[in-house]
Formats: sequence, C-alpha cells, structure tokens
Amino acid sequence: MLLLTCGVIELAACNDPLAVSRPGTVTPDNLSDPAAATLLVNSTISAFECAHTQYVMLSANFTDEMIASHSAEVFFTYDQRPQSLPDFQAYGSGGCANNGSLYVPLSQARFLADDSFRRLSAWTDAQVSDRPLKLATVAAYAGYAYTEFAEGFCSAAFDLGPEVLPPAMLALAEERFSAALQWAEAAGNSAAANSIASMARVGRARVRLNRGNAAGALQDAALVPAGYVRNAARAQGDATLQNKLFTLNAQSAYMSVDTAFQNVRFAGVGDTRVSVVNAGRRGGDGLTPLFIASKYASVSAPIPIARAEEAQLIIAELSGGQTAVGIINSLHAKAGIPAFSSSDATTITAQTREERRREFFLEGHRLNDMRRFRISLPSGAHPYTGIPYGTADCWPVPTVEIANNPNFRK
Amino acid sequence: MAMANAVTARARAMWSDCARMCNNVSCVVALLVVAASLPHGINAQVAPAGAPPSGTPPAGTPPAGAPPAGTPPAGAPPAGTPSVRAPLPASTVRGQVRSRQTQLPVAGVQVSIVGTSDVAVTDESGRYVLRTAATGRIGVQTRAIGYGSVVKELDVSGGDDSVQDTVLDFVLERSALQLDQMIVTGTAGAVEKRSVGNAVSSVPVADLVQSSPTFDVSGLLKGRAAGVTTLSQSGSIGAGSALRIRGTGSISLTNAPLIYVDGVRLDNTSGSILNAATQGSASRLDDINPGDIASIEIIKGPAAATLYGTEASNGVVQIITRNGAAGTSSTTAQIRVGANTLANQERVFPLNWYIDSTGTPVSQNLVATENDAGRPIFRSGLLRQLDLSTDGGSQNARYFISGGYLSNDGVYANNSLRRLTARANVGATVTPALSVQGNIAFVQSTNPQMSEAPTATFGVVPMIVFGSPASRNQRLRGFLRAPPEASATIDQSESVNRTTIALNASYAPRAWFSSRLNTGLDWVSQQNSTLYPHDPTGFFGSQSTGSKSINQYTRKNTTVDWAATASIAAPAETKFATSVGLQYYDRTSTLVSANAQGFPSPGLETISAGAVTTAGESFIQNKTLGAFVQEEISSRNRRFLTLALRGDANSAFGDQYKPAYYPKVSGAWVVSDEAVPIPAFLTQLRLRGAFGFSGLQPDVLAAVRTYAPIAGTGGQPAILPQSPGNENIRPERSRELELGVDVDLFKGRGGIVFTYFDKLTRDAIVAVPGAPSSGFPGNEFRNLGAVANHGFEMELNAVPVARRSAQWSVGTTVTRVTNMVNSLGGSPNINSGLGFGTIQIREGYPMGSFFARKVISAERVRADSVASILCDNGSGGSSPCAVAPQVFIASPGPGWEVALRSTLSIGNSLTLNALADGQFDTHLFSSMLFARDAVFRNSYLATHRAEMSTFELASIAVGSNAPFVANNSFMRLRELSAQYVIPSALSRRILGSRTTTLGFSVRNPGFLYRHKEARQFDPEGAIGQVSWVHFEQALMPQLRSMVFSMRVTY
Repeated sequence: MLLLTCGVIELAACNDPLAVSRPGTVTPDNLSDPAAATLLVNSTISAFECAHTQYVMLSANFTDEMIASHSAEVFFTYDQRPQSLPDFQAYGSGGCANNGSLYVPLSQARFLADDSFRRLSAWTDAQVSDRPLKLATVAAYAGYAYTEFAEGFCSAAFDLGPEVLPPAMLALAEERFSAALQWAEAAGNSAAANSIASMARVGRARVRLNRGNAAGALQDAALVPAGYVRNAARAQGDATLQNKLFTLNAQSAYMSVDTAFQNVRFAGVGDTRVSVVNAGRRGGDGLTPLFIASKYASVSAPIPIARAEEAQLIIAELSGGQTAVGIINSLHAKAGIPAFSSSDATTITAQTREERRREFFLEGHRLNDMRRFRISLPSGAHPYTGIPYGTADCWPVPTVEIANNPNFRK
Repeated sequence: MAMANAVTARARAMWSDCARMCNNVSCVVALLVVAASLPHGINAQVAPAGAPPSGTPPAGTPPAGAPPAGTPPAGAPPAGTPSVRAPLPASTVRGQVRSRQTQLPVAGVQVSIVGTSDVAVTDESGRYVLRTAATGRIGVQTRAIGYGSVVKELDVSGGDDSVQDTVLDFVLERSALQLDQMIVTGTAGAVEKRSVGNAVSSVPVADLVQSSPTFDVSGLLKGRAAGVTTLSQSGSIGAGSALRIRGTGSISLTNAPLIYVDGVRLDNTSGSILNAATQGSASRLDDINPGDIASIEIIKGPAAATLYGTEASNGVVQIITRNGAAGTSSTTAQIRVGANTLANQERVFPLNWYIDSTGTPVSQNLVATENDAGRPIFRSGLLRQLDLSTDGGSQNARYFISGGYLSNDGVYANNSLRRLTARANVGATVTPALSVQGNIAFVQSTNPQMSEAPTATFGVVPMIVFGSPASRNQRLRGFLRAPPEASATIDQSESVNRTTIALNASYAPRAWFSSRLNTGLDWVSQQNSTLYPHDPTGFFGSQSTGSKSINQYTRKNTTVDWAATASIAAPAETKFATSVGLQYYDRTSTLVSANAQGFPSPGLETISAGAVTTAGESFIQNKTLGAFVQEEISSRNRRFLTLALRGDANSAFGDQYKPAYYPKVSGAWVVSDEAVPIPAFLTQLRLRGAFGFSGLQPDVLAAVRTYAPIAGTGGQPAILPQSPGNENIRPERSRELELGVDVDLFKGRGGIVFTYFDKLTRDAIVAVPGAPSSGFPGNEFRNLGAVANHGFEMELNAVPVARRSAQWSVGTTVTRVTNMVNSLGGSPNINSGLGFGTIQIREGYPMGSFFARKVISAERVRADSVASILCDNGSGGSSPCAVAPQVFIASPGPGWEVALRSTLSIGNSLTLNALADGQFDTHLFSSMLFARDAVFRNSYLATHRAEMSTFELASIAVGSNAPFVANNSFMRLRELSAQYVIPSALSRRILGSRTTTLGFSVRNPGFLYRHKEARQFDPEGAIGQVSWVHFEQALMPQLRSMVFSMRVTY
C-alpha cells in the first residue's frame, strides 16, 4: 500500500496533473526563440522610457527644478535629500509605477537592454529580420541607462556584480554607444538606422563630455543633424505610460516648479522654454504655492531623451567664443527671445550654462549640470514646510542591492 | 431489466418515506436530487450493513460525505453487526432519553443502530422514534454533547412480515471528555475521539447561534477553542478576524488554517483585501451563515494535520453543516433584532489639542461638539436577522434547507452588511451500502466599509483622532481632512457572490470496508470598489475630481477527495484499520481591475467617464495531488496506535524538488478502561501523544523566473523582468510533538484536557527581495528559516451544580504560546515596513518583535526639552543615539490567552451564559499614539510637553519609536446572554409552535482588565493582514451589540 501511494505521487510529480496555466506571466523559455526579437526590442524601449520619466521627475525634485508640495508623497523625501534615503522602503522597491522608485526601473531597463543585446548577438540575420538595427537600438538604450546611472547615482551594481562608481559607469555607457554606432552603420542608410545613430552620437558626446574627452565629444556632436530628436513616448494609460511631469505637477499637485524656474526671462522677455503658470492655489500639503510647468501640457506629452540642441550646446560648451554665441542665438531665435551678445569668455561660459538650464528644463540634465558646474543644490529648509534639506548630491545605492547582492562589497 | 426494476422499487420506497415525513417543497427537491444521484448498476439486493451519512448530528459528527456516525469505527461498541437487512418493512424503536443527574429529558441526542445508517434525534421532550430494517441482535447507541455514549442491545425478530415496535429508554451520564464523540481526521471513517492521539477542539455552533449575539463564524470562535487565536481588526461591521492556530509559523506565507466545509476545501483568504488602505478587511470565513453550521472541529497542528498534507501546517478548520435526521421534521424561524453602538462615544476618543496664537493649549471633543450641534457622528446601527430552516428525514432520505437574511448597520453612515444566504443539504440512502449527499450553499453580501488608514484616506475615526481645534471654526470644523458628511459621500464597499457545492458519496459494501468520495467547488466572486465622487468642495485633495476603482476577484477551489478504510479483527480484541486516500485540489484566482481618475463633472461615476482609465488582469493557479496511507491498531478499544504517511506533489514546487512526504505516529491509551487501580474520583483518564509533520506550499509562482507583460510604447506588447524564481523551492516543513492528558472527574462533574505542544517549522520560506542589479527585483522565495512555537493548552470544565432545578457549569481555556525565530538562514532581518521600521523579524526573537533605538538616559534641561540623550548601544552600554542600533523592545504575543465561560440553567427553561476572553503578554505598535504625539502633535502630551516623560520627550527628539510600542493586554467581557424557553403548552397555544425560545444578549459590554500602558482607545484592534504584524492606527473600536431574539420551531 505504501509503495502504491508513493508510486501515485511520484507519477503525478512527473506528469501533467499539476500543469498550471500562467497566462499572466512570461518565462525565459518564451524568450529563447528568435521570434521574440521584436518583443525584446519593444520591451527595452518601453522599460527605458518609463525609467527615464522617473529619472527626469525625481532628479527635478532633487534639484532646484521642482519642489515638493505634498507632505505625504515621496517627493517630499527626494526634495529633502537626506543621506538616509535608502531607509525609505519606496526608494529601493517597486517598479516604475511607484513614484519614488528609480534604481529598480533603471536596473530593469538596463538588464533588458543588455540581455536583449546578448540574445540578438547569438541569433543570425537569417533568424531575425533587421537584426543590425535591433542590435543598434538596444545598445543605444543600454548606453542611456548606464549614463543615467552615472549621472544620478553615487554608485551602482550591474548583473549582481561589485559596486561600480560613476566613472566606470560612463565607460560602460560609452561602450554601448559605440556598439550602437557600429551596428547602426551595419544596418545601412535608412531613416531608422540614422535615427538610432544620432541618438547614440548625442549620448556618446554627453558621456565623452563627462569623461573629459572634449575632442571625442565634439566629433560626435558635430554629426548630429539639426532638428534631430528622440523622445520617450508617453500616453494615456497606467502610471508607467504617463508623463508624470504633467500628472504629478498639473494634476495631482504633488510637486511645484521651484522659485529658480519661475518667471525666467531674458532681457525682460519671458523665456518660452521655461514657461510656468501660477495655479493660484496650494499644493497637496496645503502650504506650498502651486506653479505648473507648461512644457508638458498633457499626460501623453513626450519627454526628450536626445536632441540636436544638446549636441549644439555641447559644442558651445566645448568651443566657447562666438561659436557658442551663435548656437545660443539660434536657440534664442527659436524661443522668441532677444539675442545674446558678448565677447567675454566668462560671460559666454555662464550664458552657455544658463542656456542648458533653460533649454533642458525638466529633461533630466540639471542634476548632472549642477554637479559638473559645482552649483549648490537647495540648502537650508523647505521655504513653506520648514523641513530642513539634507546634503546628499547623488543617490546612494538602495539597501536592497547591498543586502542581496553577494558580490557588491567585493 | 431486473436492475431497473430494483431501482424503481427503491425510488418508490423513498418517495413513500418522503411523503410520510414531510409535505413541503423540500421533499420534492430531495427526490429530484436523489433521482439525479442514482448511479447506474445499483443492485439493491446486494446490501450488507452500509454506512451512509447520518442525520442531524451533535457536534462531532463527520461532515456529510465523510464517514457517518454509524460507521463501525475501530473499537466500535460490542453490539454485533446486524444480520441481513431487508429494505422493508421496518421495525420501530422508540423511547425517551434523560439525564441521570437532573432527570430532565435531553434534546438533540443522536440515537442510532450500530453498524447501520439508521439514526434519529431526540426532540425537546427527549423522545425519539427510530425506524430500522435491521433484524436479529442489534445495538442501539446514543451520542450527545456533554454525555457519555450508551449502547443497549435488543432482539428484533426477523421475517418479511414482522413489524416490531420496541420501547427503549436511556439514562445518560454526564461526561466531561466525551471519548465516544465521532470526529473527522481525514480518513474515510470518522473515528471516536478516544482513538485519536491529538487534541481536537469542537465548537457546538448549532447551540451557540441560539444564544450568542454574534453573526459571523470568526466571532463565534473567539474564546471557544484552546490554541485558536482570533485577532480582531477594526470594529467596523464586516471587518473579520484573522485566525491563528498555535502561534505563527510562517514568515512569508500565510498563517491562516485550511478551511473545509462538508469535506470541500474553501477559499481561506484571511483578511482579503477590501482596499489596499483598508485595515478592517473581511474574512471569507465569515461568508458562511452560522445558522447553517452544526459544529466546527479544529485540527490544530502538524501532528494532527499530517493527512491534510502540504497546506496544513497552520491547522485545519472543519465546518460541518446541519442535516436532517430520520423520523423527524421541523421548521424553525429565528428572528433577531438589536442595535450596534459605540459605547461611551463622547469619551472613547482622546481630546484633540493645539496651542493657539497666544500660547494657550486649546482642546476639543469632536464627538461631543458635533452631538451638541445636532450633527451626531455616530448612530445606533440597526441589526436585523431572519433565519428560516426546515429539516427532516426518513430512513432513506434527509434534508436541511435554509435561508437567511442579515441586515447589520455600523455606527457610521457608510458601514453596513447585507447578507443573503441559502443552503440546501439533501442526502439519500440509495442502497444500504451506498449513500449520497448533495449540499449547495449560496451567499450574496454587500459590505460598505470606510478605509481607516489616515494617510490619504477619509475614514471617520482618523478624521476625528488626528483633527485639530485649529480648524474648528473653519469648514473642517476641527476634523483632519474632511467632516463626516464629506467622508460619507465616499462609496467603498465589498460585494460577494459565493456558491459552494459539495457532492459526497459513501460506499460500504462490506462491514469491514468503507469508502467515501468528496467532490466540490467553492466559487467566490468578490468585487471591491471605491468611488470618490467629483467633489467641487475640494475636501478630497488630489481625489477631488473624482476617482473610481473596481477590483473583481474570482477564486475557485476544486476538491476531489477519495478515501477508504478496511478493518479486520484479530485475536485478543485487536483490530487493524488500514486507510488510504487520494486528494486533488485545484485553486485558481483571477483579478480584473479597472480604474478611473478625474470625472469631468459631478454625477459621473462610471469607469468609462474618467479622464484617465486603466485596467489590469492577473491569474494564478495552483494544484496539489496527494495521497496517504494510515494504519491504526487498537487493542480492546482502549489502546490505540496510528502510523501514517502522506505524500504531496504541488505545482508550486521547484523543478528540482519532487514530492513531499509527511510521516506521523500517534497513540492514545484510555487508562481508566484498564483493570488497574485508579482513584475513584477519576472517572476517565486518557493519555495521548502524537508526533508528525505537515507542510505549507510555496507561493504559486515561487519556482518560476517571470517577466510581466506590460503595455509598451505605442501600444506595442512588451515585458518587464519581475521575479527571479527559485527552481529549488520546496514546501515549508513543520514537525510537532504533542502530549496530552484527558481527565474526567467525579462522573462528569469536572474535566481537564491538557496538551503540551512543541512545533518547529523548518525550511520556512522567506521572501528575499531580488537585488535590482540582477534585473529581477521581485521577491525570491527561499527555504531559509526555522521558526519554533511551543506551549500548552488547557481546558477546565466543571459542573458545580447539577440538580433538576438548576445546573451551573463553568469552564476556562488557557493557552500559552512561545514563539521564536530560530534562524533566517543568513538572510538579513526582515522589516515589515509598518511601524516606521519598528516591526521586524530577527533571529533569536519572536516573529514580529519590536525594535527601536532605546533611550536610556537624558537630561531635562527645561520643562519641555531634554539634552545629553544617550541610547542603548546593544551590548549593555550607552552610545549617542545617532549611531545607536535598534534594540529589542517587546514581542508581539499574545503569550497567554484566557477564556472564562459560565452557563446557568434554571429548570429546563431559563439559561444564562457569560463569556469573557483576554490576551496577555501582547504588544503592538500604536501608530495612532505616534502620530498624535510626534506628527500631528494634537495630543495632550504633545501640547503639554512639560508633562511628557523624559523618556518619551527624548525618544521623540532622537526619532525613536520605543514609546509607541504599547502593551495591549486585556480581558474583555465578551458576551452575556439569557434564553427563556416558553412552556410548550403555552407555545402551542399562542404560536402553534412546538417550541419558542426568547433571548437577549449583549456583546462587548465592557472590559474586566486593561493594561495601564494601553493608551489606545481599544486594545483589541490590530491589523491582521500580515499575521505577524501587530500594528494599529486609529481603528474603529469594537462595537457593543444588544440583541433580542425569538426562535420558533414547528
């Protein structure tokens, strides 16, 4: 009888009676087929676009672009910049829908990009259509994921590896951008391939600028065609698809435009790039006046990842002089504000930096620029709640990574 | 053709019986079900003693479909198995049953023919009529709650034409132990309690529903079963209790026991999610109408639950519903009306304070202020219930049909419960060897209930206790974010449609063999919705433009459970009973959600009207296939040894892990039945012990690395890495040693049931968050932990007075549980996230203990400020608090639970009951105190800091939460009730009814004891969703209910 019982159980364990359906989940087996190539590319783009939105939104709160206006929301903590950020559960948990989470969604996006690159590399052109373009695409997005890690986080880890500091992250980013450019070239002269190549060039120029490789940065930036833009598409739908710069500012009043970006003018004329409206009411905390940025006017307004203006301002920053003045004035012309003129190198440098502040308002550049240009992050206390600001100027690694990555401290 | 004729003859006989026993529609239903249940190939002529389910049983009778009371268990009474049975005609045995001590008739006694399914139940006058086709020397046996079993033998003459009418009276002796009670153990046959090596608690629900002012099952269990903890949550109507049996053993999985109804596994969601922010979540156990339940048996630990396998380490709750009995028919109506009130409503909540512009502390009593202004916040909630049932049966068919309606209003505007229940239990003896039973139950309920968490919600209680006099002259009138009339516009409710079907068949072709098949489906459709209307007044902040969310859950539990038992007798009165069983469980859960944000204008309240809409769906499935084999050896019906092995395979086990096996050994010895000298006052003495294993399956997707499908850019399909998976995952494995002694003193006047248990859960599953850098940030389930629970349970019962004129019985239940996390397998401490990091799991401490920086010295530099604060450095010294570690503050407990019961019966008509229960050595984190003292600063101490203790002042200064870990020990007078049975002559004359009972009862009339540290307004409320977390935050206090009842039986 005992043998019979065990036999029944063993038989069941080996066969179908316990087969269950999992229509809501995908397993690695589902991705081992070359037919999954398009899904992998779409997933990489989607994951990064959401993580990028988080990056732009949270770095805006961290810097002087936005100020928290809801005491019960996580922006309160990002705005406060305490060194104890990792103690807050939301900081290291949850996905992209979680307003306070960045390390997790950026890690997911980076993993998907790298993993997709590995899988695509292992397949053949016969198995996957447009394989070079797909490889270029995931490599370019991987490059941006590493770039945002480097510009925002004090350190990070990748693939359960040891702690990596920003300079090494930038090197990894440059590798990805270079790979993207190689594969984009292999993809031929198509609009899609050229678009990915420009995206990678803007990214590599940015990384090279950070790494002090001025010549390399100039070389990449110069090849970016005028009018180029690569956006993170945003849409109606769940929180991972929405433009949170719009929803959490204009709709939910969780954050307000900070004073440094209110009423920004040039020669007395309002700068349309930093158009801000006083909503005439308080934010969710009942204390902080609500100022709404006009830049993102709807939940589906796209958020730039890379564009020609960034390449131009990199050229301006590295070249200085009248080259910079010319670039600045072309931007002013588009913004409808008076021209700038100066022959003083210091003034031109200062204006170039000011142009970056305005041009890339709420595009995720401000944190890196403040650190590069040694501009102080907000200090003292929140002007309306009185909560003191901390001293963090980069985001520490969440505790969950340190605790569960056995190689982190090696 | 002959076969068809036999079936037809059988059906006619059944119709004849049925027509005799009742004249109502239920009879037709019974016959339809019977007809539908007739199997092919029945041969009515091949029919030795069978074993179909019994009729309405006293507590302890197995569920329908489980082996019947009449099944000859190992060590059955000595009456011989009746000889060949002819289907008709039947002889009649009739008589009366009385108590020896009181000489009063005893109602509800089950009288049966041993070895057959023939059974009857005594009426209010103690009389029974039992029809049987058995002939020869037969045994007639009684079973009744509180009395020992009696067997009398009788000769019934045979012959086709013989119809014998015999009078057989019984006098019953009280028994505190009731060793002859039949209980369910998972095998094919219910067995007598005397043979079981572990403690099984029985709760006689059918009796309690007549006296208790409780309308839910979890409420009925409170204080009535040793080792069973019912953790109350909110006092809001519909808020259920979380059940725990013998402590908490699981770190990352459920601690809820399995629940079976009539052999079918139920959705046992404990604290199912009403809303993510709602603390008073409902329990699906409370969907069941207590009026439909005959009894509940609780199998407590791994040693007892081995046969239930991989999901049973938290214990098993067996619910046995009512059924009809042969020879009886009755129709009962019970009406209950009453009121729920918030006792001392103007004093229950602490005053709100603030310091005005002149520096003067100002207070407000919001409840009193609103009452004075003619805007009472709290009302008396009306309570109405109507239960109708009819039951009856003949020798071949039985039925129980009921319908119930409950309307129970809470004390604030949008809290109520409307529950409609219906049940039909129909059984038939198709052949003497084969009986079938079909039970179907339906419940429909709607339960509006406000979220009570203060963050971003608008529950009435948090709006009061976190309010401030600063806004008393503004539109907020001193409430935190919204006045009650605004909160009342939020529609937050749970609706449930639930159908449970149980189909059971028992087949016993030979006296030595019985088998049964239980199949069934529990189907729960639950909808949780929250609607914030478009509110131009702006009280709802970011929700002011309106929002709506609907979560539609569908959960199905399918059960197929077959078991068989074969018994053989050996020399020297030794018996061997071999049991085998095969079980298959399939559980699916689907969630479809829809959300909308921002309605363009007031009045729009549909999802599609929202400016932003989202939707989601999830589906999970889990399957278990298991089998067991058990051998029970008994000697002279007083020495018992049981050996068993259970094996399970489960879809959640990792690929690298195959079946799980759980062994068990248990023994029982009725010492008092031996020819050994024992003191005369020991009427019965039984020693017992059990050692066994059971398990708890992993989370359904624990073994699998998963990606979640997401909406991608431009509507493209996309995926996102989710959980890392663990292909080596295996079930948690709990082993338990249980030793006990049962003593009956002075011929049933006193009883002691003592059980010591030592439980250890190994391979406890710990949800370890994945390192995000792996790309898979979800939880990985690992078999890391070891958790120990040990303690004892003791039940003491006594009957100090047992006279014809009055009987008084008292009882107490004491439970001691010590919990300890022995190991986390090297993984870091686990933080619940609640209590601001205070509630944690650490090795070497009870699960869910409280940790905080602990101030050990501070200097009071001014009346309201401190300096030179030093904290415990964790090793006996002191250190600056900024670098001090969190140290142990207290354990959650409860370490002790005590219940006291008293029943005074005067004559046969008036009964007075009292029940008190309490929990001791228990702590919780009071977020309410924390928020009032340290965040909203609206408490007395926060505005009179000079009166705040140096310890609390210093703790708040350094951000320590230690002062807010409160000892919430309490002893509560739970129930007081009185019942009066109107004399039957008067009852007949006035209402034409057989019996009429009037009752009055009160629930939660007051406290007998509260710990002095228990500063929160009700020490009993705590969140039970994660059962090791003890946390409260402005919960509605437990309500006081006063109920009048009238029960009429025809």
